[in-house]
Amino acid sequence: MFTQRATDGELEIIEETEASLALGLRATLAGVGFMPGLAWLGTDLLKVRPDVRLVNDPYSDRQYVAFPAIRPDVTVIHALEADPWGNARLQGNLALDRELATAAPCTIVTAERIVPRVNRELDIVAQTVTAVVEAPGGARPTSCYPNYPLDAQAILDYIETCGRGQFAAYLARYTNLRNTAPHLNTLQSFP
Amino acid sequence: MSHYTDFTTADLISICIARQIQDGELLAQGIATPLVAAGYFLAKLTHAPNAMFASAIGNTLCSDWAPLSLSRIENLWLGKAAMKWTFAEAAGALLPSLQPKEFFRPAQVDSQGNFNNVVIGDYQRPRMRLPGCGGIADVTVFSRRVYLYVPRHSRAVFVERLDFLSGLGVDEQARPGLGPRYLVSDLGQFDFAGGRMRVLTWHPGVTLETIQARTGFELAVAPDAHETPPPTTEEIRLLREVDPLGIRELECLSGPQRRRRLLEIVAMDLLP
Repeated sequence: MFTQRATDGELEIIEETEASLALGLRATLAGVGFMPGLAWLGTDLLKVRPDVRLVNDPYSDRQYVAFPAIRPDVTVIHALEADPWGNARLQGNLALDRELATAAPCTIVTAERIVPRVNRELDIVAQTVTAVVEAPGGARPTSCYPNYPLDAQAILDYIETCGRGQFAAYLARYTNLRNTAPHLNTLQSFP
Repeated sequence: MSHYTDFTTADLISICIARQIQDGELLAQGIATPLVAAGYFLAKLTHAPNAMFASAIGNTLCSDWAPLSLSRIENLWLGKAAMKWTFAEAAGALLPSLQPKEFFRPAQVDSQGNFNNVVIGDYQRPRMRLPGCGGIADVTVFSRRVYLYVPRHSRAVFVERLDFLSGLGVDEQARPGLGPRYLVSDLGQFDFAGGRMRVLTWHPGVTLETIQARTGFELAVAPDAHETPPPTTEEIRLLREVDPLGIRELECLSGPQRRRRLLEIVAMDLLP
């Protein structure tokens, strides 16, 4: 669906790459306006992101890209388990979860299960969390290792249905399912 | 060593990738690149037992391997991880400092090895928006170990002029990134020595004329260019062990053929 909407010009796209996301979030966490990097130098990314500027290295004559701080408004993290305060465990399977949770003023943790207390091997700490939601199966149809794998059939279904321009039908099918499939009841947690 | 004649294009590409791996190397593994994963694991089982993988899934380092799967891939990258990093650590520190070898699949390549994974056509009014370049615009600036693979060699891929430059080639002056060192397609193997894409080998049954006809710019030819050594029976046997479902074949297919194959693989993948 992204491909179709983007090709049709229906989406506003802000180009980012792995480095721009990582450095932009790290700038926010460090409380500075940008983080320098070598990424993008010489590519067309700089042409389509005129807001991203270059910076001179004060210690040499080199130039870097000054990746601007990224300040997310809301972060939603899905955890394996969390306690009522928001301490959460992802078994060290961390993408940008910790940075996003810390950088956003509002962070919602959804968890496969709520337990009385998570006080060891934390990946997300309560002080960065605004709300906690128990949402078993909350990552479906994608995976939540080690609890359940990717539902490849459901992903194919999504691709096929959207390919026919019927995203609404796909949504309706899964919305109808939610009364019979316990894991999808969690969709109701989000107003 | 006996040679095997009944192989697919995907087999040969994965085998060529495996042959580019040296023992002990750190190998980066991107998302949805089964031809590369099959090649890496084949190398691990043959001449590179000490190779280590840096996986984009879970941002882990892993020295184990497991048969390729679509839905259980985390059992390997997370379940058998030797070391876990975060995405920010991987993108901000691991890739620039350790510079793993990585095989990228470009949508367009020019004669100097510059490549594009962002958009086909004009950026503002594209004919086709692609998923994006991931970390390609980051690592090609500094990496000395950029490798490319193209499962369907055509004039649509090998173009005189890119629609968008998101991966840097070999023609720039003073930057640490060296541009692609190597490229394998379904027709042959290439390098960019001398700053221009150059034929090193043509695959069995392919001619130099065919390769040139399916390339949108003039190719150089290495003085000792020759036919790609065919797979050995041992390479084919091990390849089927690392990818019993034939997931690597998906990258060589398109349209309804690919959809059909994908459905079959998903059905087999779900079996216990």
